[in-house]
Amino acid sequence: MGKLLWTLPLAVAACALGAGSAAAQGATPAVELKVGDQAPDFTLPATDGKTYSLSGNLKGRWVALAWFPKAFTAG
Amino acid sequence: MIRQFDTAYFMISVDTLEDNKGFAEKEHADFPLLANPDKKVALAYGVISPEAPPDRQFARRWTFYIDPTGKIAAIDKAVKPGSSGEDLVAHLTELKVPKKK
Repeated sequence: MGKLLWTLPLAVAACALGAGSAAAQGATPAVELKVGDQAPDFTLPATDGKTYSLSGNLKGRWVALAWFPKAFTAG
Repeated sequence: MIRQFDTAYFMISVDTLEDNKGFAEKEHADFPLLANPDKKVALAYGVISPEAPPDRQFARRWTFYIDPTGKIAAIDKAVKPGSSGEDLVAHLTELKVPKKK
């Protein structure tokens, strides 16, 4: 039990080091957007045949972007 | 119900435009669906994890509300497929999004 107690912090430290080196190798960390952040711009094709751009034809409007996992699953 | 608000509403996924066209037809969607198969926008919005294998990278069911200045006004991370329409109206009302004249 005593051994387990002091190996645990070592394992945590090793994981942290691993994550650090992954970042150093250029792995992109997951983005975490918050309220008040500038929304990332996009220009994407839509099913109505038009192309929508946040900085273009959607500029100055309220926009709701509802992400969903996969076509043919419940929206 | 959503249409009473002066807002551009989209559903968006990392599927191809063709897949989403089929989906929109099947669901009789009266709004456009955006397609982002290269996942760049999905990564920028943090709805897919870059660590996941590419064939497992499906967007999280999150809705972003963006105000007219381009800032994020709200993020709904608890979207329920069954009541997404009602939830949307509740959020738009809370955010005081103007109604169409």
